[in-house]
Amino acid sequence: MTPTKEALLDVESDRTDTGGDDGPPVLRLREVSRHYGGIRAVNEVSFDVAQGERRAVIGPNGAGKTTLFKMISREEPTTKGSVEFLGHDITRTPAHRVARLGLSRTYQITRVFPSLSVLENVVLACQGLRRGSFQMFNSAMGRKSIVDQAEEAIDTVGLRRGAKTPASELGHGEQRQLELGIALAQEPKLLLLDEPAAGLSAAERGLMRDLVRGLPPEMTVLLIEHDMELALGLADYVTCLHNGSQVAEGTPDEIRNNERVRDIYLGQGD
Amino acid sequence: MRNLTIGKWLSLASVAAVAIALPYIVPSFFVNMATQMLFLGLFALSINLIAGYAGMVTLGQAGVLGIAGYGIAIAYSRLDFSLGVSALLAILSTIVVAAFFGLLLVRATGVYFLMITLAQGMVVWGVAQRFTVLTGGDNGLRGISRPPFATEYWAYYYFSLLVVAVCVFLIFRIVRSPFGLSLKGIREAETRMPALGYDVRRIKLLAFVVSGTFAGVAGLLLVMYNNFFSPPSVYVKASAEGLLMSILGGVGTITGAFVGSGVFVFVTNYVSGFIERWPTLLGLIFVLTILFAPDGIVGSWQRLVWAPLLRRFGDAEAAELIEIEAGGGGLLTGGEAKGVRPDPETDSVTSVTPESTAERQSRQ
Ligand SMILES: Nc1ncnc2c1ncn2[C@@H]1O[C@H](COP(=O)(O)OP(=O)(O)OP(=O)(O)O)[C@@H](O)[C@H]1O
Ligand SMILES: [Mg+2]
Repeated sequence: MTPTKEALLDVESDRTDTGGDDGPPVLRLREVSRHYGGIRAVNEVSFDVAQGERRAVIGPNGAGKTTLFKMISREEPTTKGSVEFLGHDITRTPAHRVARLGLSRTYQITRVFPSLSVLENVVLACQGLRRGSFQMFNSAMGRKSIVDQAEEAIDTVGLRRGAKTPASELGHGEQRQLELGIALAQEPKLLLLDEPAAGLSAAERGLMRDLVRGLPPEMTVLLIEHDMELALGLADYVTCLHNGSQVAEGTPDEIRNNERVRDIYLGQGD
Repeated sequence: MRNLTIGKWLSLASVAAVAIALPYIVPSFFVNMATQMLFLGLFALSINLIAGYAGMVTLGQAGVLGIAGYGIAIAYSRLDFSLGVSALLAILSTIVVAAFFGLLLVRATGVYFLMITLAQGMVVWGVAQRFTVLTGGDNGLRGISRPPFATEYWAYYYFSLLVVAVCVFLIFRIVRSPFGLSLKGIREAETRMPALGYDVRRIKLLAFVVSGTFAGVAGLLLVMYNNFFSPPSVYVKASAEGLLMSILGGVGTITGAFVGSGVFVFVTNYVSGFIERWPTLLGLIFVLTILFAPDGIVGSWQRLVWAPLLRRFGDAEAAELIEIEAGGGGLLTGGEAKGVRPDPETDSVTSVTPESTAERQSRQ
């Protein structure tokens, strides 16, 4: 099979042909760029993500994948371009507001709260989106609806309920599960996963793949993954970045057969 | 679990019993030392609230305490308000000033943060020195009295005990509240907080105001105890002593602040009568604590005595809880540093075998 035209980069045309996208896209990126001095970490990336879509963002080391995520979650300003989330222009919105609109993310390098217990980690995530995080005289761990929500998420990612163990004492694999649990507990509309399987053993990768597969179908997921097979197995649609630029976009099959993608991946021996 | 609860209530009851009986069993000199320990402990605890619980080390808290100290002294002795009204005005001005410095502080991190806290102490000290019409400059302000019902040394001790107990109860609730959990979140992984929906600056600002209010209350007790207030009370040295007290006792613990202030008061008031070089001794105690017991006296006590004791009586779960609590500070031992995280430079991580995951889960 040869790569189809659609699989190649075309920033001008809006994508309308993926299955099941009724209504406006959940996420719309328009020429999003981030420059660090002379380094163009991300350069004019544009794509739409429809509700319920599973999109993988792939690319070699330093391609700009993480930087792109930071701009979507508003943890890093955009140098140029615009980000729209659920119809709101969030290019200048503070990160905590974006989170409250329904966006959650995980980090490539685990960013849990080390000396807090597993349950406290997740309760902290749940309480961030609710009113009352400034309350001073009731117990954080006594708010039943929040604790229930947290325990459910802990269950979902396969950790033990009511876990009192501090996060720092979990193994790396469990910390990755917790990392996902923290984001999932927020019941986001858009979930950004930055290499959820980073550093996991083969068996643990399988577990993580099943977790991502099992996410609610209405949840929109953007996934960074180094492992091509894992990424292509999970995604409906794939964007490939290289040196900050978008070099290909298409279905997993199209990407698999895309020459530029092959060159990039073979070129660096991954 | 049950042992832990019983143990805690027993300790609390015995501390309360000793505290109440104290004036009946020791001479006035020691009762006065206990009074100092109480308000200095409250001051250390106010520092602990932001340094120990939220991970923001401050070297300017005495400046905040000073606003309350000068506030009540000026309102009472210069403006002739009643003692109660003066105290209220003092606390209100403390809140305003803490919020003002807070607005600057929420914008800074790291060394810059520390510099601003230093500046905060220096500014208050500078104003106290120069604005002699109001503050009396180096001579300080005299003529503040204790509440009429608490002029005797023992009555003032009970008065301080009551005020400090109420504050400790409030702080106990605060550190366990949703707000307290947010503070710990900032200490543990500040960079993740915005993406979880937290307005970190607002939380910090509120933390400075709350902590400043308690420092203010400590300041009021200090002024009324001495019937005097002068620039050294707001100087950077006083701030640093407060921070050291909370480290000495154990950051991130409530009892630690009072153990720390207890040691401090004991050395400065009592040991200083026998040992001329007591400041050296105090310095030595601090250095040894930081080197060998970074969790402080309370933290080490819990780890080395309490936890093994509970294990001995077959309550492993309670022992584990105690150990978590003991290590909860994370000011010296470091919140982020303590975590098992891969090297951010290389992203290299040692992968965990699936067995170890399963094993752990079954063990639990
Ligand atoms: N704060 C920064 N300052 C300067 N350059 C940066 C900064 N952050 C990222 N970069 C650069 O931007 C480029 C993209 O980095 P980014 O982390 O987004 O890559 P990535 O695709 O996530 O790579 P990886 O697969 O290794 O995680 C890299 O060349 C990186 O060195
Ligand atoms: Mg990355």
